[in-house]
Amino acid sequence: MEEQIAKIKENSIKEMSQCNDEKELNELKVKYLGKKGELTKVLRGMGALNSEERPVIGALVNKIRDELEALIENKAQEFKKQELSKRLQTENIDVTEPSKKIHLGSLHPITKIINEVEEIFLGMGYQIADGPEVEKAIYNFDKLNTPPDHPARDLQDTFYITDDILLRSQTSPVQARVMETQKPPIKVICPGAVYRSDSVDSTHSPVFHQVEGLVVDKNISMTDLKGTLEMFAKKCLGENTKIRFRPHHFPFTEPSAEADVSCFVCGGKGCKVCKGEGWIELLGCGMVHPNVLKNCNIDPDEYSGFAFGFGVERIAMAKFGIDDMRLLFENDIRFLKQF
Amino acid sequence: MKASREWLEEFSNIDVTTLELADKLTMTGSKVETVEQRGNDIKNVVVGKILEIKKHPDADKLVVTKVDVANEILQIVTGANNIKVGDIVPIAKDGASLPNGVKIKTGKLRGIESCGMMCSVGELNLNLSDYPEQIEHGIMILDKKLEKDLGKDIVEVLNLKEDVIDFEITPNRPDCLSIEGLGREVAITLNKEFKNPRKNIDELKIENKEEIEGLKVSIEAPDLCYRYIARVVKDVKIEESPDWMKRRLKACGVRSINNIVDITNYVMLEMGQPMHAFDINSIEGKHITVRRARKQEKITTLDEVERTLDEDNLVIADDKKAVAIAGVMGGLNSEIEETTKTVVFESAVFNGGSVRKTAKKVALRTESSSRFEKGLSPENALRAINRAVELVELIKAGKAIDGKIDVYPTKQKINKIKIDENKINSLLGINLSKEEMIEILEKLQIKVENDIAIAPYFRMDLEYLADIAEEIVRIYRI
Repeated sequence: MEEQIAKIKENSIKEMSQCNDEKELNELKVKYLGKKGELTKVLRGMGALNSEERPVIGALVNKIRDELEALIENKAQEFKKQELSKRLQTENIDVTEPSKKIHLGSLHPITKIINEVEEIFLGMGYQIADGPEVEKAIYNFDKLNTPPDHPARDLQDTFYITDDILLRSQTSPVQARVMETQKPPIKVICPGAVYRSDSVDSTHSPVFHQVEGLVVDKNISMTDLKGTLEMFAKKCLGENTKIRFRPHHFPFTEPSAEADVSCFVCGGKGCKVCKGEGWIELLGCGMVHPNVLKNCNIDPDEYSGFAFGFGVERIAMAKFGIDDMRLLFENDIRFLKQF
Repeated sequence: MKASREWLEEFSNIDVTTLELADKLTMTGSKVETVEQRGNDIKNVVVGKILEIKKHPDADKLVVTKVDVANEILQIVTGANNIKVGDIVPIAKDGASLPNGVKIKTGKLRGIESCGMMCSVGELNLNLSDYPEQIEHGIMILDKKLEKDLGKDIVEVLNLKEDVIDFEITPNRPDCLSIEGLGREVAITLNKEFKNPRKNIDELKIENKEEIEGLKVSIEAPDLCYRYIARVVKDVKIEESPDWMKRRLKACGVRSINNIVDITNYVMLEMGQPMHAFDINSIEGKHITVRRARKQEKITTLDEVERTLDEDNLVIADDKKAVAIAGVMGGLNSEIEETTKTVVFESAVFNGGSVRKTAKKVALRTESSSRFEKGLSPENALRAINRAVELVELIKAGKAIDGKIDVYPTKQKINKIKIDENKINSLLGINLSKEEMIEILEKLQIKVENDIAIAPYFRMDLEYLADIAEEIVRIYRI
């Protein structure tokens, strides 16, 4: 019996020396000291011993168990130390190393211009209106005095979804929607994407952005329109900006005009940006055609109004000196991060 | 729409430079796209006469010439081999500049001094088609008659100077797709009197006839054809048009074909009314019918392409076949040919939307269709055909037969608009008296009687008070 115990001790110590990590050590602990462990088996077998042997063997087993436990504990501590120093080594941090850069995003130039334009018109007491990009032909054309046989309705210019539904080719349908739902006085702008069946080149894109403006009230005049646009041009393009009206034609306004601004690069002397003319075409505008007012249930004898619409890309390109519209849609980070 | 300054001057005095004129017209609503000033890029090129041609001592392919340019004799070395002694040629003298940007300087060619250069047609940026007797690779040999002009500027001698303004006309102003209409705009813009050179045409009284030379006309689709006028000229001699006419056509970008076809194009450019000319012998049954095409009806147009039509398209037909797609293009089967002796001129007005749809269907947008689709004045159609006949006699292309066949089922409506000066002032934000408004309107040939504005026949776009306000504001300017 004593021999058996001594062998267990010897074996266990030998095996312990071969343990490589805490896991193996635990297994060893279970093997010898666990419920079904070898030393425990010896204790369980003590019932078969006589009363003289029992205390002697019991004391011996307990002594060895204490010794073994102490040894295992020591060994475990050793492993923990080893583990710690290993972690300390591998997880070494160089606190002098520069930290990683976090890139801040910026607003797209189109968003920037739209925000700026909204800011300017909100300051003049305008509200911002919105309308669907998938629009009914009746709002995009009919109500805007553009009857079915009008050239602007040609398939080659407009993306039709069905005969009656299309991708709006202008933000002007919002005019009709606002006039149908609101009573004058109306003072709104509507920024948004519009779609035209144009091939992509440096000045064309099948999708681009417009800002539409509409004012309807009693005694609204064309000089109000010019004053409003002059104020806008000064705030958006610089205090010294001048504006001029050139007669033009749109189906939904009469009289109609195109507004030019004095070149904000050369101030009107003539340069590359304004092609030597001193003026840059900014937008189309005019007094709301009496038929449009009528179509939207507003009495043209009582009310008058003005409307204008401009391309956001055109302003962004002029303002930021961008020479190719495609840059605004390709979203190359090297381009975008300049704004 | 292109217009030469010279042609515009027939309708109004112009006392500003062409560039100033262009700026001013843009500001009154006739937007100028480009101004082309031909001849300005040729400097110091004169008429010279070759006195002597000798071999170059050190070069096989060069010759040394002596050229008389009136006040001096120049020695010029050239590689050209189409010249001979006595030829009159254009000489770019020392310091000359040519349209291609080349500057000419005295220099030495293989050791021999050359004091200038003889020019080819291409070097002067001229079109070989305008000078068919010239060759492409060689010196331009001028008419012997120009010997009297030795030493004179080639630009003046050949009359190369031409200022051409290209306009972008808005679709509401088809009257400005004509020199006459633009001439009116020039006059009002520069505050000059409109010369109205076609006054004689306006005052002409031409008798209506049922039948001329056996020819009859009927309109089967009066909803699509508002007026059809035919006049006949006989003893026609098909030949080249006179230079002045070719020059004006060319300035407007139209190719010269022959005198009769050129007259139809000339009248279209001058008055904005597209016209057509048929050989009377190609009209079977001598009966012109304006009718809808039959389903799958085929016609080969003047550009020698076969087109298939349907009931939505309008044709000009004789008893057997279609001879033209109304308002778009004539048929090859009724083309004016060298043997043509009797010509039928057509001046008609068709429904704009219908012409637009037809032109789209046959994928043929022409000078004619782009005018018709905007809606033309039936009143102007009569002026145009009378002008065409006048031109026939003027250039002696044939003899007019008296009378006209004029089928005019729907008379042009003349719009009348009550003038309310308070509303106009309030809409524009200005403060003009009624008299000031009327003064502007009358300059625009809008008559005002008892406060009613009467739109002239050529201004079918004027319908509402807002249109009148626009006329006032584009002249008064805010």
